[in-house]
This record gives sequence, C-alpha cells and structure tokens, in this order.
Amino acid sequence: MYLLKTNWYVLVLSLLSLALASPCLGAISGAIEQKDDRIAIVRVKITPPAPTTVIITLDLPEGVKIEEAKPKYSRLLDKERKAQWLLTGIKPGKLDILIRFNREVDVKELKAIFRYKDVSSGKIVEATN
Amino acid sequence: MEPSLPQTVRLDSEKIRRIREERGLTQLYVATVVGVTIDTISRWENKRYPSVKRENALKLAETLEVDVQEILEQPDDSKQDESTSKEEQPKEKTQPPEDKEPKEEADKGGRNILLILLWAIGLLGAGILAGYLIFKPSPFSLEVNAARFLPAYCAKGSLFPVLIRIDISPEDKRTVLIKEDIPRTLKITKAVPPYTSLEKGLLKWIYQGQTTNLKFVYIARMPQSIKEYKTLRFRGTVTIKTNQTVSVTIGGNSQITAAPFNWADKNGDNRIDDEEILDAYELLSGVKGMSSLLKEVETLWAAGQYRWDERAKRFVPEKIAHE
Repeated sequence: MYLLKTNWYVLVLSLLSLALASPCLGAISGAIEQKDDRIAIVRVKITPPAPTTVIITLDLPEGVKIEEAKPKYSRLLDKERKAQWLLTGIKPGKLDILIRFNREVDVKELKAIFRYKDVSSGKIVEATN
Repeated sequence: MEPSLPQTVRLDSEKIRRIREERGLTQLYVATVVGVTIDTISRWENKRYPSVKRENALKLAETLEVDVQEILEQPDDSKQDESTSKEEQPKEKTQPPEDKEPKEEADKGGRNILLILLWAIGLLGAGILAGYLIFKPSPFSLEVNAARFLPAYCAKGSLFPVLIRIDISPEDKRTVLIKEDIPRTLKITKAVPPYTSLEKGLLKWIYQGQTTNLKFVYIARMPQSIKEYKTLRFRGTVTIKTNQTVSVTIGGNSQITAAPFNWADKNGDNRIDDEEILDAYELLSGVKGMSSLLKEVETLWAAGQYRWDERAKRFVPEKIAHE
C-alpha cells in the first residue's frame, strides 16, 4: 500500500512538472528584423531537442516581391504571395535569412510561419514570429 | 502438433553442426535465437550426446528449420514412438479442475450476503494489488518497442524506403536480431546498416552494442510486373538477448500498394504537401545514402504537384496551374 501511495505522488508530481516544463521544451521560434528600408532578416532560434527539418513560410504584402534571399527560398507561391524555405539538417543554435525586396517594406507587414515536427510527439507544430 | 518429449533430451551433436553449416548459420545467430550463449552452442556441437532441456531442443530445431526428432539421439525409433503415444494419452484426458465453491456459496448466499461481499471486496483488492505489483515496470526489466515505417504507395519499378525503429531500455550491452519477412518479388537496392543475410525473402540483421534507439533502413524496388493497386505485406520480429531474451513483433505499417504515387505522398493526391515532406525528412534524417530519394521528394514538393510518367518510368514535377 505504501508503494502504491508513493508512486501516485511521483506520478502527480511528474505530470505537474511536465505540464510546467512543456512550453520550454525544444522548439523553433523566430523574429523578423528590419535591416534597412528594403532588407529584412528572419532570425531563427533553434533550441534542443531540435527537429532536423523546418519549413519557413513568409507571407508577403501585395506588390512586394523578393529580389534576393540568402539562403535562397525553396519555392515561391506567387498567387498566394508566399515564399517558403525548406531547411534540412538543422542543429540547435541560430540561423538568419536575409531578404531583399523590390520596394520598401515595413517588417510589421511581414509574417513568418515556422512549421516543423515536434521531436517527442511527432506532431506538426506551427509557430509564428 | 508439438512432439511429446521428456523434460531432458539428448542431442545428436554431429547432426546439429552439419545442419547449421548447411543452412549457413553462425553459432552467434543460433545462440541468439535459442537464447543461450555461443559457448553453449559450441558445447552442444562438440560433446557426443549432450543432454539439454526440452524447450531448448525445440527452439534449436525451429532455428535450424527441422523437426525436433531430426536433431535428437535416436537409439531405437520404434520404442520412442510407443513412449510418445503413451505420454500423449493422459494429457488429453486431463481436465482443469472446476472451482465450484463460489457458485455453491452464491446459491446459499442469501443467508450471509455481507460475508460474501466482504470476501469479494477483499479478493478484488488483492487482485488489483497483485496486478499492480506484477505489471509495474521494474527499472531492471527489458522494454522493447519496434515499429516499421512503410510508405502507403509506390509506383511500379520505382524505389521506396522502409525504416525499422527499435527503442530498447535500459541501456546495456546486448545482441539484437531483426528478422524482416518481405515479399520475395522485391529487390533490395540498399540497406543501412548492411543486412547480415537475405534469403528467400527473409532479411536479417544482427546487431551487438548498447544503443537504446536503433534504426534499420532499406530501400526496395517495387516490381515492374506487379498488378496496379496490388498490396504487398511485410512482417517481422525483433529478438533481444541480454541476461534475458525478449522477442517482439515489429508494429507499425505492414503493407504497401503499387500505385502511381511517390512514396512520400501519403494520401496519393499527386502533391507532396508540407507535412509529407517534413515526414520524409524526419524519417530518413541521419541515414546515409538517402539523399537522392529525398532530393526527388523535394523537387516534387517545390513544383506543387507531379504525375507519374509511365513511359519514362519516373515522376514528373508539374507547376500548379494557378501559380
């Protein structure tokens, strides 16, 4: 009976700590910074345990086109005004995507979505900047 | 039907060695499957007529793919047959004793319901406690989980990957035997790590080490001659030997359909969507020699949609019309 009680306490405490810790588990997040009128940087932060692959989707305002990007985008969906980067073999740390647009852009007009598979659950996670 | 044998039997050591060598099996392989050490197998093969437990003789016969009688010392076959048939008779007649007490108590139970109720509650409590103690995971018990990741579709004549992931705990030095029964019409073009043997559609790996997460990947080619939408089935087992031997069936996906879709296209809609490409990369990440398979998937994803070119025997990327 003692064993049963002890294990219940352990189980409850484990669940509680897991619930509290879950937002801090390995993930991908990012922010968009303005470098100058026509250049923005998507700063990506990867914390362990990191997935190996992430898709970053950048929503573009109407009339805005990407003139150059480093690294280059993997695909451009003109109609949907989206550019996507498929980043593979990523490791914990930081990663920057430098983008030059055809005209002045306020970063507040830009939206980035980070899509990846959660390492522990295997479920798709979507995070926005 | 299982042959009726005494608790201990004597093996024919020469026969064992000969059959094992004919089958091209190593002592390590046989030891792993039977669940004994290599030294034991060596002893069985070198002593003249070693005595072994009946269970071990049966496992050995199964491993060597022969009838158990074939590997036993047989001084006189006719006597053996007589004793066998005699031994079988009492077994058939034996019936498990019926426990009539609870029923009788229930019939008379009107008089003392409280006592029966208390007895039942006590029994239930004892059962729950016993179940908890029995099934409570012990920190020392070996836990094994094996799963197969097999695509839903693959076009005729094209390649697809299969991954077997094995999670074992706790960390310890061990021998792992993986047996994967694949359709004989499939051609394996690559395996990472390389397989130990492949014979009559039975793919085998033997791994020794203490890693807790193992990945075994192979690339197979869907036969060109297969009928469209025909399904192929896979099955397999993983046997792990440390101080105890545990054998589990490989779970996960077990069938693939011959259809004009890329292996990464799970729903067969001629598009590789974001989730499907993430799945493909997560599946094969860190596995050497998979880049060409992944590159093809990436090209199809980037294009938006694709079709299978039957004449060229390859997938052709196509831009979505509205883009």
